[in-house]
Amino acid sequence: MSLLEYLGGAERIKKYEVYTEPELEFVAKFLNTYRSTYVIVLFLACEVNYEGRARASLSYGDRLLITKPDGTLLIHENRKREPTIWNPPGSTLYATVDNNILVIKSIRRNPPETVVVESPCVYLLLGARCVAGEFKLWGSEKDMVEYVFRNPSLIEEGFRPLHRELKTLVGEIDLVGVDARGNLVVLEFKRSTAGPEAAHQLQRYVEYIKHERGVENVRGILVAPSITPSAYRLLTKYGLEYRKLEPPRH
Amino acid sequence: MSFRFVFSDAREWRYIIESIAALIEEATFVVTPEGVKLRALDPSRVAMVDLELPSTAFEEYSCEAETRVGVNFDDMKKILKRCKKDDKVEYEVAGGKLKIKIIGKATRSFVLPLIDIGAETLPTPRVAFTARVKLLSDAVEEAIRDAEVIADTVKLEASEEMFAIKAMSDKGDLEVQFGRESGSLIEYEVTEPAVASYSLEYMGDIVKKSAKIADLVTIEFATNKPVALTFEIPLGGRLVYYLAPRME
Repeated sequence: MSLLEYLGGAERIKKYEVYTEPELEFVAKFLNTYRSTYVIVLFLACEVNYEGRARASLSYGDRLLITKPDGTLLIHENRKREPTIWNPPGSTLYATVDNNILVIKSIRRNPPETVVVESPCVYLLLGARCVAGEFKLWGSEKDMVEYVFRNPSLIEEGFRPLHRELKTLVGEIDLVGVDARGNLVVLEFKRSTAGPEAAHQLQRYVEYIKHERGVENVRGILVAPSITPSAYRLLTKYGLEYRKLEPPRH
Repeated sequence: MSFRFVFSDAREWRYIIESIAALIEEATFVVTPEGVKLRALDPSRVAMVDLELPSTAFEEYSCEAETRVGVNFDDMKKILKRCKKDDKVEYEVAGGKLKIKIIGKATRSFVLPLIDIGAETLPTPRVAFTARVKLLSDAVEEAIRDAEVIADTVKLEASEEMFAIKAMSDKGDLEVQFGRESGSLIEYEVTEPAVASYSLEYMGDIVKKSAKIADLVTIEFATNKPVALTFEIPLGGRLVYYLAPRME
């Protein structure tokens, strides 16, 4: 988000700007000036390095670099859905030219993560004024959690939901609550038939909460429209429970 | 001679320049018989600086006609680092050059080349603020420093009763509340509750440097709109920063 929107006619932002084979200095200046205004897409030859919680590198090649006003950085290659290397919203982008190489750095401070892209050649530069529309999603796990939060008796009488999307070292727990007797309850939601991995996941969360809170009586409930026989066997083996729930329809 | 002015507190002047230099590399001072103005956007267009110093804010002031002085703030900052407590600073433009004199026990003169930065007249950002809070700038600085430990983004929230500065991440949550009874809240006016988030990198740069200039800061914002942080400079001057919001 930049201030340009609030300055009226002072600097009119175009819907898009496209440059083919732009000079590296121009690209650097464009990135530094419009990084908070446009979604910028570069098709360029580059080498990419990431350092943070882990390390990664991409060998020299032609790929897409996308940066968004909120700081998101995505490096896309010619396969798969997910970006090969990326930095989340909140990161800051800096571009410079050093010895005829365009150096683009995306820096995240908390936790410290840096992506460095080095490129001798940019084929295409696009600055696009994208919007953020209203997004509606039906039938997701989040919908199910929300549904239970508002109607806790769907789980059982006396259930009190406490914490949604609880971030832990072993993952994000969908919902943690307390039952009528005061026992902690961990819930894992699946929007379609749950298999053995879901049972394992629930077991991991239950063990984690037991250990973290120092209590033995922690219940685990898998909430899904249906479960596979092997999931059922695992739930029984681990002393976990199952509650049938369909994702709510709008 | 196009203009000449003397600012009696060189250290205060240095803090003002350092504050602007944290965001801006180059900008143009517009010096008129009425006073000095400077308005500039940072390179990424996320923040804007607006400095206004009337002629009364200076110990000595003379200006014949409107003069535009483009300067590099990094260079100016380095020169002003030489200021000591009790020094005065004098600016004079004559013969196409800017002469800066630091006047103390000894007098040191520096000359800066003038830069021609395109004539960009920036308007005041058009925002209808619904919350206006005046606080001790130290208290705000402390809250921002605390937030920097946790996250990259800071949330400002103003309700009928209270103003809060919040931050959250995997590391934890921070909430600093300023209620009407708290000693750091000087003025409070909320016509409509407001919530907005801003980059801590920019907020930190702005607040940490500017808290040295003024004891009080006025924060104005509205939901998902830019924030205006106004620092008052003694004898009628003001330094205002506008910062674009971060959409969640």
